[in-house]
Amino acid sequence: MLNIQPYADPKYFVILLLALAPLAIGLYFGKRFALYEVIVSLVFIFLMFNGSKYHEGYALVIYMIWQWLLVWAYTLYRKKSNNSWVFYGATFLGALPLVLIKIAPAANWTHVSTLLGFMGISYLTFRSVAMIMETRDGSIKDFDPWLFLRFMLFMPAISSGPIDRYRRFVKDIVTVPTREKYVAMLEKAVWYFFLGFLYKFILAYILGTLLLPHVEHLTLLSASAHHGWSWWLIAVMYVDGLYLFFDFAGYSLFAVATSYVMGIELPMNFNKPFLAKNLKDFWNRWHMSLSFWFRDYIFMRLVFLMMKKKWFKSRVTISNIAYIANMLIMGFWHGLTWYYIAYGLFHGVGLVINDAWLRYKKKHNVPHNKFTEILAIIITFHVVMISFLLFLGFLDKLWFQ
Amino acid sequence: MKKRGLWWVFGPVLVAFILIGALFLAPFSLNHTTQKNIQDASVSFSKDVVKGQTIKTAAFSDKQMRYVPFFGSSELLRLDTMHPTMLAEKYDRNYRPFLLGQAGTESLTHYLSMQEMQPALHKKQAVFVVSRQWFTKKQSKLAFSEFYSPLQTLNWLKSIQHITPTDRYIAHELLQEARIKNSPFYANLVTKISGNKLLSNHDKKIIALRYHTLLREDQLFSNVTVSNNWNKKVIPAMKHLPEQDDEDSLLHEATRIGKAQTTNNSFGIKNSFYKYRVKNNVKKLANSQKQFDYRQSEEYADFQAVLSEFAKQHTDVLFVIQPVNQKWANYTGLNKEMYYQSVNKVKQQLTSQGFNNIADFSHEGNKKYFMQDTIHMGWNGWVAADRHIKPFLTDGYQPTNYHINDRYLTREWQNLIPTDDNLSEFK
Amino acid sequence: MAVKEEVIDILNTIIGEDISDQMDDDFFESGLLDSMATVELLLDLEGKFDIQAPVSEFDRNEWNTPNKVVNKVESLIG
Repeated sequence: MLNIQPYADPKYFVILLLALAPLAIGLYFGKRFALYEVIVSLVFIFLMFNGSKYHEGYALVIYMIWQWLLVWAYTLYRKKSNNSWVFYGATFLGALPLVLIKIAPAANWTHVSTLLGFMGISYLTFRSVAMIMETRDGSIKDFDPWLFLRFMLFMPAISSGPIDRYRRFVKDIVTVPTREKYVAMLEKAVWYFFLGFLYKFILAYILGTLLLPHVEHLTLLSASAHHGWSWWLIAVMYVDGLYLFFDFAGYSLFAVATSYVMGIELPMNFNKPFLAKNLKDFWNRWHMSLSFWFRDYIFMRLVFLMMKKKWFKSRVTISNIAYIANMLIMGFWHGLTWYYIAYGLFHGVGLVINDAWLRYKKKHNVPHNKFTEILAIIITFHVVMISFLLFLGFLDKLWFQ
Repeated sequence: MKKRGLWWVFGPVLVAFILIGALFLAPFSLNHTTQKNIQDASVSFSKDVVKGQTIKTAAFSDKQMRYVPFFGSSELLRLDTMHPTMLAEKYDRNYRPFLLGQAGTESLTHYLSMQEMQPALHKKQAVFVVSRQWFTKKQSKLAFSEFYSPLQTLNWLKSIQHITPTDRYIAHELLQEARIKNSPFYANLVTKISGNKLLSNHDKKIIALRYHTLLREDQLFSNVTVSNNWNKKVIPAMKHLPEQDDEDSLLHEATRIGKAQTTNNSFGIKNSFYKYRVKNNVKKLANSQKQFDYRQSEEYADFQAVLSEFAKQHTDVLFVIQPVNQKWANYTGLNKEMYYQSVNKVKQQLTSQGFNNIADFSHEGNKKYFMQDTIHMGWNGWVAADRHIKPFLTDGYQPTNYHINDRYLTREWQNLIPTDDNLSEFK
Repeated sequence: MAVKEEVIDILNTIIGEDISDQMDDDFFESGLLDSMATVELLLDLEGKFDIQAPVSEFDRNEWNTPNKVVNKVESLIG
């Protein structure tokens, strides 16, 4: 049976844009055909999860019912009262399916993976857990079953983000952009689509399909000497790291472009990450919708809690603990393997060092000019590349398999 | 912001699509293949050459030089001084080898590749080097997907007038491969052939359109891969070859080079190969080939498909059967009896169908400097091969008399453990 | 003390330099304020003015200059 994976080949774009054309024409003339949009989205989601992936389709349906009931119930509860433990419980239940899925491979629970797993579960969990947190804060006051579904199942971003925010999304979806604004969005959409083609179908192809197997092979060949350390490993680092960026950034551009065609301003995921001047700057440019999610829902809340309860005196201690906790959780979220966790720790410690350096720099008036800026960019880039080499698991293959 | 209309946004996209459409559907050819391109491609071993149609068509229809397809696998890569390409070039013979093969190319890949070069095979000559290592029981066709070309599949589908047992066999084999199985377009068409159903006119129209697009893609990108082998390997080798095209002096020179390059081991393996590929694992490799068995394999049927294509095109073919390095085979425990049985099986398949041009070197793996490494012919081996190749190709095409027996496609033949008796009885 | 001066006072303490002459500068862009300092700011404002400013109300586009912070606080008191 026909099964089409999002943004995988040119055919998909033709089908997608033809299907979205009536919607776009409507938006151009100031109308949003909500029902049509929902039907098209459902058809595309169905085609993603049918055929050999039917069990993922069932898992998605079960998962959505679970989140729907949970967020609804919590919103009803929050209107009456506001116990912290109920909030923690609801957050835990919201994250539970994802947690199980992440533990399953390490614990060999194959039945859990097949029963609950589907592509995109992480990104749906980020959305619903954020809703629970904002409901607790009183920022979201009502539960709209219909808008909840449209937010969670927003088709362009369902499988891998970018992660939108409920209140921002609703603002877009219940209105129609002015014609001038919509044309500007279409203009951006065209640009993003073509930039995405360049990234994903040309650069990521050259790096990932043509170069990567070659350099990996050479690294493994020379692995017998020096415990796997060889100059080829450096080539693997650059090729694999850049591949990661172009592949994912290309995908994200497609998702954003598609959502623009649908009159929704999905947030961007990347902002020239390799021009970051330090590690903190990097996380404000790399996979932004995820790092901002972690910043707003984990880091800031943890800091808030620790400061309010005065667990530690020094604000430096608080921020260091929060950095490491934040990045470790991100590492664990990627998966329970040593290299993901090490990657999280690497960035946690990296941010702590980065902060210490920034403080030192401010205190001692370290010279700052064009040259030091370029040097900072180069150093940051290489720190990031080393972390990606860890993240991509090639070292695991090299050392332990 | 300046107010911009829809034309401003979509105009460039529209223009781009029109240009791309024009490029792909234009009825005239766009590429220009030079003599130098062909020469480079003939020794490039590039996957794109195995897969690509344009460069092969250009080579085999070349007016100034007669390129002869050499099918094989990794042995063709050993571009040393006595390699057939060097000899043909040095002595300006009336042919030049066009090497089609790489580590991992086996009969099925060659069969598909032949589909897009039928004019080059029709009543012409070819050389086919057979390696025993193709004929394994398991893990057959590991590299198939690397060499798979949809264009060749379309060529094959296009050429089917009536469905032969070979076509059905090939269809069945292709349907096992992920590249075909997972593509609804190809899976659908190939399933029809495997089910003995001719393609409809509608199918043929779609194939023609897809064919045109893929061919254009092939034309546009086939020259992208550049190979430096000609300048790096062929030209330097010219200097070492004796001035006269004479077997004795060739053998003398080959022995000299072979002797100088096999000093660091007792297997007669080339120094560099031994150093990088063998030395570190030499202990582990002792007796490592004890279980190897080349007698039962699907490859026998794939090979049969190749034979029937040669018969269909009346190609005059010389088959070269490569030996294995005898010292190495002894060290790794390769079963001799099994080895010769499998050689006999292939020879039976050839001779019983009228393929009588066979250069069988299977008994010469113990000769000095015959093998360059463990399984590939080198210095003296190439000189011995030339004793067959040179007269075969310089004399030119001889009419063929092949009679194909489709029973060689069956499981029964694939799984037959050959003995002298059952081979001669198999009909 | 007026709300404006108190807010500037809090910001000066957190940032560690006088910002009264850059009331319309984006302090996220200039790097003067980070997530850490933001939480301090929210907590200090909460303590000083007895207002509720939860983290999820903190939209960076509405809190990115000293003047905007002042306006935000005034509206929350109001």
